[in-house]
This record gives sequence, structure tokens and C-alpha cells, in this order.
Amino acid sequence: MTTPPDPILLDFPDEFTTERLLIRAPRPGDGPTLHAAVKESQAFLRPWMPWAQNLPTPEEYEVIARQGAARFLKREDLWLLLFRRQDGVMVGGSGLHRIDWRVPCFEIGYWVREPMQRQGYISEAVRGITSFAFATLNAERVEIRCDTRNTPSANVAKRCGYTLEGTLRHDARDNDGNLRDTYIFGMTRPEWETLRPEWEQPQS
Amino acid sequence: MTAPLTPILRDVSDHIETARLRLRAPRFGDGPAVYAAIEAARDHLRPWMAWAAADEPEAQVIANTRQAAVRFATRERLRFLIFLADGETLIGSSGLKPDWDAGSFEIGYWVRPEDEGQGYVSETVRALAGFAFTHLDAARVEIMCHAHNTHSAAVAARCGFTLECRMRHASRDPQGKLRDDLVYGLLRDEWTAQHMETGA
Repeated sequence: MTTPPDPILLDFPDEFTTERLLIRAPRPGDGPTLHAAVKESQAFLRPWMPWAQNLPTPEEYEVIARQGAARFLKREDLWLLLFRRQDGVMVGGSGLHRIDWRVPCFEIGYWVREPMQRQGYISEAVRGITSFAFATLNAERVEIRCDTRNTPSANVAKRCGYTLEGTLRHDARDNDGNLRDTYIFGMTRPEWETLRPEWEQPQS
Repeated sequence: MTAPLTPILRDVSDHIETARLRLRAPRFGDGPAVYAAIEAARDHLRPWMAWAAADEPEAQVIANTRQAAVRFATRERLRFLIFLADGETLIGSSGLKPDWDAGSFEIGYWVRPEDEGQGYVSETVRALAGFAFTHLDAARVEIMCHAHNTHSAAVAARCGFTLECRMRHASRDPQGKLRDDLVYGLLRDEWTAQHMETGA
């Protein structure tokens, strides 16, 4: 096996589009937009997202966005924001995390603003980011983890063709301190290659 | 829920006695003995442990052992060297990788090939799991191994862990071939039930 290069030497775009979405790395200036989106949906996100417990200020979010942009450049963590192409409105957040470039494998995470839910944006983003991982980043495996009680999140994974590989029991605590379980969904490259033609058909 | 302790403020014993073994946190001065044990085991460990794949100079192992002593002190990682009961013969290494917030601990282990087949690893795993549940407020203990590492998977099964997940194509072997990884878990209630049963 050839020694993998330092990941910072990898070249890939920091934005791409799907039918309705612009998916891109965070940039300076995103802080206030992020703050407004999370503030509006905080009660909705709080049960599932550890980072939604305490709302950072717009300035703190600007720091978070710039640090996210820097981690993207370092190829340590690929945080991605979702915008509606039609009007530029932020739909939510996603990204490729827990990266092991030696495989390569990635975990996709996602959240949606409450008013934007149930419109298929997240499934569209997950298909787009899954294909970005396999086609552009040469992934061999992409994973989705979620709280077993977070049914909408598990449904996104299933709808996008991921396979439930197992359940880690009592591996985390919720915000009230209760032990909870985690689903692990996985997709391998051969599975993605099977799904790809279906995903790439133009939507009618 | 009471406010969780900052990990560095937790009192953690630096040694554990079992029937035949003494598990002890690394100290400055242990490096050369650790290097000798790794060299005795290296060819045997290469396929399974990413850190063992390439040869490393003794100085690097000595530094790593000192760093392990530091990380034990900060409670970031709890490495326990495995000695025979004489407290001097170093046969391998083990440890707990804590997620203090969740109360979840991953157990890792290896022994020299000459010390395999005598149940030393299972004895170590049982001791570390018991230690985590009894002294560290563990809710869960887990073991991760590569799917074709049948020895390691057998240890997890023998110690009462449940296979929870097979992560497909999650890593590569030293030749670059994709392989699956297994996650085994043991919960507090399960451990308590087993513990009562064996009367240990």
C-alpha cells in the first residue's frame, strides 16, 4: 500500500449543488446566519444535538464558522452548510466527520431548521454528500449514527439506502443524563455504485 | 444528576490485582521493559495493531510509555501494563479509553505470543471491566477488534460481551485490504448478573 499523503494536500471543491441545494463549507460571515437559524429551531434541535444546548452569540458563531472553515482547509473535518438555491436561505447543516483518510471513511451528520423539515431537503443533502464522499473523496465507507429514539433521523438513513449495521447500547447520555443507545448505519462503495444510477436520474 | 467530576479530580487506583496478574499504570522507567515486550510481540501484533505495524526505535517507545504515565495522571487514558504476580515480568499491556461524560470505556489489550493461551487476556479484561463498573461509574464497557482477529473476538465473547455491530469496510489491514470492524459491549446490569453468578 502506498503511504497516504498528508490530507492537507488533497484537492477537492468546497461547494457543490444538488437539485434544490447549494452545499458548501462554512465561510467568514456565516456566523450571524447560523445563529439566527439555530436560535429559531433551538427547542426542536435540543433533544438530539449536544451543540444546541446553549446558544452561542452571533460573534461566537462567527468564531465557530471561521474555525470550521479552517478545519475544512486542514481536511480534519468537513463541515457543510445547506442553502436553498432558489433564494439562498439556510436550510440546515451537515458534513463529513470522524474522518479516517487511510480507508477513507466518513460519518455524515445533519440537522434541519424546523420550518424546513419534511420537504426532503435532508435526504437530498445526504444523497449529495454521500456521492461527494464516494465519487470525489474516494470513500470506501460512509456511516450515519443517530440516537435510536430520533426516528426522523433514522428514517433519513434508511430512505437513502443505508444499512443498519448495529446498535451500541448505553454508549451516550441524553441531556437529562439518561443512558441512550446509538444506531450505526453504513454504506459501502459497492452499495453506493448500485444506488448511483437511480440517484442520478433527473427528477421529474 | 449531580455535576460530573472533572476527570483529573477522580481518584483512580494505579494498580489492580487479579488471581495471577498485577496490572499497573506505567511509570517513568518502564520504557525499556515495554520495548522488550513489544519487540517480543511485534510480528504477532503487526496485522492487528496500527501502532505495531512499523518498527520503532526504543527511544520512541520510552517516550510513548512516559506519555501514557502522563495521560493516566490526567485521566485521559488509563493504560495498565500487565505483569505476572511477581510484579516484575511484563507480559503485555492493556487499558481503558474513557468517555467520562457517557460513562463508557473501551478496553484494549495485547500479550506476548509466549503468554497466550493461558487465559491471561481474559483475566485482564474481566478485571478491567470490573474495575470500570465498580470504581469508575461505568455504564458500559466496550471492545473493538478487526473482524478476522478471531483471538480477540473470542476474548470478548468469553468475557460475556455482546456483539453489537459489524462496521463493514471500516479499516484496512497492513496490506491495504479493506476489512470489517466489530464492536462488543457489556452493560452494567449484564456485568452485575454475571458477577453474581460466578460469585467472583
